[in-house]
Amino acid sequence: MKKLGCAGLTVLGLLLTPVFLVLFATAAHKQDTPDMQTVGKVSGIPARMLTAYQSAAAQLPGQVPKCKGMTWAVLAGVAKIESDHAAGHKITDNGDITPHILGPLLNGSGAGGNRTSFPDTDGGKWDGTASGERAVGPFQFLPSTWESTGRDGNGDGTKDPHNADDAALGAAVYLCGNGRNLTDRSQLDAAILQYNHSQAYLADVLSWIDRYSQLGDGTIRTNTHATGTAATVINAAFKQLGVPYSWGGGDSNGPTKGTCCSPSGKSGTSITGFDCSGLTLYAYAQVGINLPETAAEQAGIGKRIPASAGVGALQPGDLVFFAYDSSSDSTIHHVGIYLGDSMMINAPRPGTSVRTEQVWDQGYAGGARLL
Amino acid sequence: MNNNTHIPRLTSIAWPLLLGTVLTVLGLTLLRPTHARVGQDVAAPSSSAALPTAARTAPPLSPTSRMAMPPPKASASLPPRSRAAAPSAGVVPVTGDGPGGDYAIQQVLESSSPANLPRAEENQLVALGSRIWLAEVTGTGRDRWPTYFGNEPLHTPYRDVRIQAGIARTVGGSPDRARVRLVWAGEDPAGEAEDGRSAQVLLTRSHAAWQPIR
Repeated sequence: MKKLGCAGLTVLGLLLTPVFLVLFATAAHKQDTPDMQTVGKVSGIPARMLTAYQSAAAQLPGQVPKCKGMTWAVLAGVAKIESDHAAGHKITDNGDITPHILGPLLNGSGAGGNRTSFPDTDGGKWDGTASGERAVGPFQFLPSTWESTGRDGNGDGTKDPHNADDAALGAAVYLCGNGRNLTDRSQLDAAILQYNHSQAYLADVLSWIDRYSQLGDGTIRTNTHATGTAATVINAAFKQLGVPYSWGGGDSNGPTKGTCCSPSGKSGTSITGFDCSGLTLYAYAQVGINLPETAAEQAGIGKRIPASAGVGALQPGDLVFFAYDSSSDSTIHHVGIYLGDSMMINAPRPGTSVRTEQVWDQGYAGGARLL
Repeated sequence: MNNNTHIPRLTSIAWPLLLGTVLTVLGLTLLRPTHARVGQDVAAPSSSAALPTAARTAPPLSPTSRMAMPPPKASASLPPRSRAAAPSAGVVPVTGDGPGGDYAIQQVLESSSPANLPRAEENQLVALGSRIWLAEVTGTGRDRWPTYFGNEPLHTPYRDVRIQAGIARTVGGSPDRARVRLVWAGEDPAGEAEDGRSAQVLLTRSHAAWQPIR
């Protein structure tokens, strides 16, 4: 056996170095993936509903073996739009939801503007009425669909669309169809449109599937903490939590009486507070940065982060914008300060106060980095 | 023990070195932060029970409303100041301002791109796009466009929808293709009410009739 000479050792070292780099990168990425408890907390999904989504995704292969790509995030995206994760309802340990979640009566009467008529199929068993059909449960199944798609997700021997586990598994089965590959965007689109045939619905569900997926895989970093000037900006804004929204209100020194008026005539003259750009103007003034007056103008300062880069590209302290046309900065109408965990602090609208909330899914127009 | 040391020829170590370099670059690339695309399509659509009699319910707009918005001002070098008087009403829309504030959104949309259709034709296209979008999100009226909507029912419609503003622009310079860009408000199936939602409807003209296309 030949001894490895110096040249051979050098070559071996050069070959092994990238291998170690790849292994290190993989390990580092895994460490960035948050635990599900954190994901649930930052995403605002109630823990019991998140458990139902995860359980359904885990059971799905036994129901539709050919289906690929069914994840808790897909189910969460659908449930977000169908029922906001059963918001305002109680969920027992076994997954039962009370009071029952019932959609409008679909008897062609025009409830909510819809004139589609669905004949009654369940005699009121699931939807409480025999005069027509209502969508039921956290995933808003039509009773007729539930008859063929319903599953027993919690193993209690019943298939109940008002049970979180049963409904989640039934939704997973329905979305998978005859064995869709949901990692293929076009097939995911088809699945969602089959669920509810509306482009608005499709866009809304996809935006939340993407948001939840990115929180789950670490693309949107969680448990990030601002430091330095970013921390100063954020802390300044946090000290204004609860201060009323005031049209035209806020300057570099703090909340002020606003001006008259918003386009519809809402006046800020009697309200000491902030409007959206006044809050950001104040917060950044604490680190010596003087922002322009309006949200659209503030988007012209600093390094622009395009909407296409996603929420995951934002860092705590960045300005975050919202527009009627995300491709046109001139249509920007709102600004907040990004906190991390897909959250922002902002003065949202007349009648509200400075508060923290999820970065809006509607009209996201990227951010700006000034720090 | 073999004492014969063999100095590799340059060509025999070149390939391993090249491979090592490529793998090193790959490893360093993987260590860089990545930013996934959100994949959020702004294309939004939704609808309301009450079809607007005209997409533009705003007060008459001045000819200057079609001028492009001035570029944002950079003011980082200005000294700290109190805020000037708020921008004049009708220029800066705000979320949650209600129907009375929709005209400000109309102005912002109109200023976002140069108009390239006669005003009357643009109004007609916006009205058509609005009806199609209402059908898209409430299900009402879909039978007018069976090819576009198919037979799939809408079992969880959006509710209390109104079109807040709309513009129409030709696409690709063709006089027979237009994109209607709408801003709308409505309540999703879960009951979450939001305004300032974006939507687009693509139209094509054939035999003098405009039809929606996907």
